[in-house]
Amino acid sequence: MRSTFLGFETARRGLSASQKGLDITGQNMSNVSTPGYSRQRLDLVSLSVSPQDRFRSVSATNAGEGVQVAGVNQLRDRFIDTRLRSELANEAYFETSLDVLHSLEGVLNEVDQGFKPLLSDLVSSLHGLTLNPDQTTQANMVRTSLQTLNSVMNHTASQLEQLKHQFSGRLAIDVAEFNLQLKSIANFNQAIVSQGLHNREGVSTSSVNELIDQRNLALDKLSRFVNVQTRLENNGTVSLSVHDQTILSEDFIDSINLISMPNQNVAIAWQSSGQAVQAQSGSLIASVDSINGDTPHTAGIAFYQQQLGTLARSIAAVVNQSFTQTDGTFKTVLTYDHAQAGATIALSQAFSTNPRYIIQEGASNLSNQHIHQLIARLEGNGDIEGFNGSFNDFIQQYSVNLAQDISFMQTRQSVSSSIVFDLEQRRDAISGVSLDEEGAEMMKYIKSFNAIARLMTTMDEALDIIINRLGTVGR
Amino acid sequence: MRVTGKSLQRSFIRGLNQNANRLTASQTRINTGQRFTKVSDNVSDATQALHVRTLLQRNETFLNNASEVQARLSAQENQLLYIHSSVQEAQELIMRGFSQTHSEIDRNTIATQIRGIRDAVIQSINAKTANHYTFASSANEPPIRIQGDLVLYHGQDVNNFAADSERTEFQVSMGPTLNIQQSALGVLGFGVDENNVANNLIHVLNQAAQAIQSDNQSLRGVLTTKMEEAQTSLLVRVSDVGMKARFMDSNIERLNSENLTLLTQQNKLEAVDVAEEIVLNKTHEMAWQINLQMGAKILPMSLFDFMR
Repeated sequence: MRSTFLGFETARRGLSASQKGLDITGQNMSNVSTPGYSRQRLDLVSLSVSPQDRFRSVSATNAGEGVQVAGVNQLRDRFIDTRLRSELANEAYFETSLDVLHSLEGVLNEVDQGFKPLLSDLVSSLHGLTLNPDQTTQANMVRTSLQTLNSVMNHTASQLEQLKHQFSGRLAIDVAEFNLQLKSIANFNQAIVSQGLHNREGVSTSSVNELIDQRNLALDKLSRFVNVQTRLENNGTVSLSVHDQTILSEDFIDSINLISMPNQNVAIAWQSSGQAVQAQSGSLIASVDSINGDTPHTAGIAFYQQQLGTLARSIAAVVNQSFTQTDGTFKTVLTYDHAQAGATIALSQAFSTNPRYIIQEGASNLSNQHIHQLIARLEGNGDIEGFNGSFNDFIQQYSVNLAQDISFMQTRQSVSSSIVFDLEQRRDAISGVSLDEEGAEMMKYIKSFNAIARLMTTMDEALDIIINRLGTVGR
Repeated sequence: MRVTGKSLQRSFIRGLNQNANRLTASQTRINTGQRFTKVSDNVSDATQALHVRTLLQRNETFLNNASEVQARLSAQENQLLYIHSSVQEAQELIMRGFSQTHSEIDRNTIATQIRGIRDAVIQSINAKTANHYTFASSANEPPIRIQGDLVLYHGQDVNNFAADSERTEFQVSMGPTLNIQQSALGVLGFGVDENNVANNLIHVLNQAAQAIQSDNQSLRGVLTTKMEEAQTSLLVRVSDVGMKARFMDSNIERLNSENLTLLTQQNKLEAVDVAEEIVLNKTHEMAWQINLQMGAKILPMSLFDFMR
């Protein structure tokens, strides 16, 4: 037997569902530009209050009971999220590495300035000295050339040290930001669990969707620092690990410490184990690699400091083996500070105060062959530690090495950015808000609302017939 | 695939950035006139360009050296020819002085003339070109000084020398250096012969003047031979200097031609083809403007723009 007011109840549920639908559409439209927001959909199910399976019911008594709002669904693809986060870590690695390499190229640029023209100036001034080997003016020109070369070398060394300092500072900020993001993910985990309304990601009946969005946003940010693996737990929390080491679970949270090493090098280690952070990608790893890298294959700031040191040391050695004193021993023309990581090269006190220090006095020493020998060594091969080539070749080699690293990184960064772009577009295709679609939804719900309002009127008219007009014949 | 406003926006901004980057890069190339400002802009061309720059700078140095050498050789040749003509003149005077028809006054006059030639030779051998002694690698002191009866070369008696070791090497091309020094010691002669007679021209002229003045005929043969030897030696030196000067001429020509080739190469590697770059720049600018216009049309469009 159907109850009298069943139709009103059905219409009321329909009106509520349509209004909720309009609310969700409004929520989507309001958050069209909110970072990290995933579009939401109302989960509507046809209502059956009968304990029996309604499809097998032979009775029509319980049919037509209307609609029920089962929940608010958040549209997201976890596979795309995982892929995107992994690629974000790669992109951040290449971007950070490129940033350091571009800064290095700015300091060591051979196109606009650099050591090659200075070395050529030195050779030219030495040629000038061969023309007039006992003229103070020519010796002074050699002194000026050497002084300029030294100043630029020392300035470059100090710029490299500053770069190390600056990028170490940025790493410290990144480490703090990483720890903060990790803590905020832990807080979101707690908040989601405390809501107690969550069974599986994407389905909820409360504002937990917004918490999930914010957690996802924090996870995206975190992924740029280090490539983290995420695992969704049954209670709705996420566990995180890096290189198989758990860094966040329901009852554990780790953090990263920045450790200063000798020669301004740096290291990052986990607070819990003290072990170095090991990962393939991410800006933190790129910063550490770029600051500490000291081999041609992992060339970072430290490598170019070494190259500069080798260049300065070798030039000092060659120049100091060229001018002899009366007792046959060599004159110290340049001094080199071995304690410094980069170059700290200077004119010796004797040469600095008297340019004639390099002039070989006396009738027996009128030859200029020693100057030619110095020129030959500066232009020839084999006078640089561990390098078979000239000074020009050495400078060219590390410049080209740097440029090739930049070129290689640019290609990889460009590929990675394209992948990130593609994945973001694909994520947006699922989770993003389309105003066209929301407009259509809005029209759909308003039409549905209008129709149900009409149903209510019809029901009212039907009841009016039953109550007021039924059996009035002959009254 | 669903296309949302955000994805349209992202795609638009990405395209706009790419166009703006290309436009900026092209603008930089036009402003600087260079195809690259960093090695990483074009690794291969920049590497070659740096090598060409080194070669150019080296060539410039060689050209400077060659010009200086040319000037010095020219000065040497002039002085050597002057000394040679002086020696010829002295030789005639000596021949005349030793003939027995002259009176004492005539002999004294000839001896004085010979001493005059000697002084002129000393002046010539100590001559300076610009700030440099023509026949010395040192610029600080004249190579030859007379002290009493002694002829001193850089303070030492020329008779005590057994060899001329003074050299001034120049580099005018990659490879071995070139010695262009004609030392005062070599030009005038040094040491003594087996009869203990000085080989040095100044000594010979001194001895000749003295012998003619005192009518000492015993030295006639020795001194005449010494003068002839001096003339021959000077002619050999003049021809040596001439040969080096010709070599230097052809070397300068070669260096100039190499310079031209290197400059052409440098221009090709480093300089922007302005016409091509401007066309490229305009293309990028147009793409950028189209992107902006399209973006302005696409981005605000949605169903809401058509709803009443």
